[in-house]
Amino acid sequence: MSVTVTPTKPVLPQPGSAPISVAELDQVDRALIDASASGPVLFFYTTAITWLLAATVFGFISSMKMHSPEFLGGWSFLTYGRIWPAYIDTLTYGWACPAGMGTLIWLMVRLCRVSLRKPALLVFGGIFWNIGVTVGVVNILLGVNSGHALLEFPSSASAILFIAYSLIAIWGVAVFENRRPGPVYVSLWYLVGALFWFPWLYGAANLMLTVLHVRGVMQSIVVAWFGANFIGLWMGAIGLASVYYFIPKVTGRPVASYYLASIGFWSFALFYPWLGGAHLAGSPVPVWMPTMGIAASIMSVVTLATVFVNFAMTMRGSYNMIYHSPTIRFTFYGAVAFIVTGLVNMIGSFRSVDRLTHFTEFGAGELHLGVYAFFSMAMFGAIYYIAPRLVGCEWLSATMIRLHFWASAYGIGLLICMMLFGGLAHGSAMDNTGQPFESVIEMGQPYMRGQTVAWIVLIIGHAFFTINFLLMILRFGKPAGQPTLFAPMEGEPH
Amino acid sequence: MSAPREPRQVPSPLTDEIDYVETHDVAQVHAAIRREKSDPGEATTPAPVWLMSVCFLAMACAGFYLGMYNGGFDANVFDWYTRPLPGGSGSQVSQNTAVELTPVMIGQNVFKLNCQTCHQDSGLGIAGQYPPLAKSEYVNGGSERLGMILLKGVQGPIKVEGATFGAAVMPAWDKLSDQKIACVLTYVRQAWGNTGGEITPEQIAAARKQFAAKTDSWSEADLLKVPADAALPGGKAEPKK
Repeated sequence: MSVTVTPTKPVLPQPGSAPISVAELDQVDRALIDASASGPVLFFYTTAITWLLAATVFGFISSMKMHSPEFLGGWSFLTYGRIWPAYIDTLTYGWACPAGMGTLIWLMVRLCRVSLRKPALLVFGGIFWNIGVTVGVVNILLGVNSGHALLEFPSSASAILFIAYSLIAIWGVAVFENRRPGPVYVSLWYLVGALFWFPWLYGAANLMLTVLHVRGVMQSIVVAWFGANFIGLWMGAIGLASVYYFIPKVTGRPVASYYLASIGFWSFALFYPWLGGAHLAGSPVPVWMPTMGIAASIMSVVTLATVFVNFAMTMRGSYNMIYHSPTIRFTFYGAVAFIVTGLVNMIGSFRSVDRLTHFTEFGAGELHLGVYAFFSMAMFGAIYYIAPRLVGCEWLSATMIRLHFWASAYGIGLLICMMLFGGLAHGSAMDNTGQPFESVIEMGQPYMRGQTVAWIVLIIGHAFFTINFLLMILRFGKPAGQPTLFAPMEGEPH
Repeated sequence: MSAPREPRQVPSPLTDEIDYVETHDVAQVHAAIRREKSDPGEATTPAPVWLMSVCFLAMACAGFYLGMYNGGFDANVFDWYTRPLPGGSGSQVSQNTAVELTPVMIGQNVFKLNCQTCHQDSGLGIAGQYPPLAKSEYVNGGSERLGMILLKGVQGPIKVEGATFGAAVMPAWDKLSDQKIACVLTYVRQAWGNTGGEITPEQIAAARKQFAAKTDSWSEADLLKVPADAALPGGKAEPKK
């Protein structure tokens, strides 16, 4: 799917009018930057949203399969063993990564204050990325699956993804290299980190699994390390960069504390890469690995607390913006979900809890907390801010944004609750030797049905989001002028 | 990384290249950019003391946990409740958990996997079908007959402890390693009240060479040709007690 975007031209005064002020020059600058980046960013967003729709369908089907296996039972490619990995990979590689990369590019050019040169190459990288995801997902549906969680794609697809990512990352680093002199804002720390973290994670994991062919528990160790970092480190970095940018930007106040931001970033970079070990508790691996993971998850409280207090102090006095501004509402939901994700990960990593929740839906709940409740909500917030600037018109309908928010917020909340509590109840019942296995399975049924209900709500939300976005890129939006807000507000937040 | 370059020159808005015809529309298009607030920076609010306390508490808890359950960072420690001995090092932890296996222990394991189906856990075999090993004249005494049986197998009929086993066929176990054969024979010769001595892997290796030409199984007559107290090469003769 491709989008044709006419780069918009900057604001310019009429000849003969008063000389332009510094603020106006700043606006010209921003307009030029936005115009240069609009092609690739909108391309990434459009493909990401297309994959989000596919993920929604796959997710709904896999959820149905849990309680009604006969649903679409005639098609082998829709069996649970294929549709679940297809769903997870579509959600992460199809939706989350391109949405994150689109946001990353826009934030990079804005914060480095340079126009993007040769944006067509980035679009080229994006096309490659989408080919890789397509090859991978089709292979999974055909039954070709490496069997490693989050690395299910065959090595051909992984290679395409890696090349595509390299094209994108080189551009990101080039933008950073050519940045305008001046202080490097917090979001940029995370974004530059993300640019280097992803090839490290994806390259090392694929090198170990498909080139060196490590054996036995070493595979589990690699997969656990990759899975936790793919979500925690890579998505975490882009998500936090987005929150760090949009909360101060929309509220019009600086990030409250540079010191807290530093502590938050360095503790994130130091502790998060160790979190994967916690997923190995109970496995036949040297005991220090899970212990290290659990210790790191306790230490991640440092990141969670400093980052969140910083956000809260920045928001102080502007909390009413959650009521008015779509960007702030989605972004703040994401920020809160980041904290919840960290705390649930920490509690879930304790050996006494993990003993019950291992191999249950609890793990899926943690994944959705990170990928959807935190990262995707932050990306929605970013898209609601960025797209009008790149397309040149406003969101058509505040009602559709409102419906999208509430459907996503309630849908993902219900889905995660069903997974977390279902997993906990399931694990406790399995641990009870007096309870027959059949009754344990029956006991889990309501939670599975609850997940399907959550998926129906999510489908509604994503449908409104897609329609609104489609109208936006087709320029059916409101003419530029007033921002589309939930409620009118003095001083126009964005 | 090279130093950031000089600021890029913003094109002067008053050159001839500007398409003024579009300016009016463009002003509307960029209403979003015009109204947006300036890019964010960082203020320097000091970190609250309570927050730093929370951070240090978390670090302390994590450090305590890591110190308690690290298993000495030893690659061979798999139980989270295993801790290094007081004043001990990682190597002591290994000694604590890794047990040196005796030939009899290895032999018992080999027996369970390969021999127990016929000769039974009790070593008594099954009457009329599989000969007993407990107190058997082939097991006790010299080791040569036993080694021959293991390496090449036996074709019945054969008389053991006064009972005749007509259809008994024991396959050759020469696929097992020298060490496993030596260990299982040592085990068999010391279990169930048997009184035979230990057999070493070197003896089995030598016996392999000695009987290399033999392609089929032994008969009872072949075995009885060998003196009852003859030992495998490298061992001393052991009269039946």
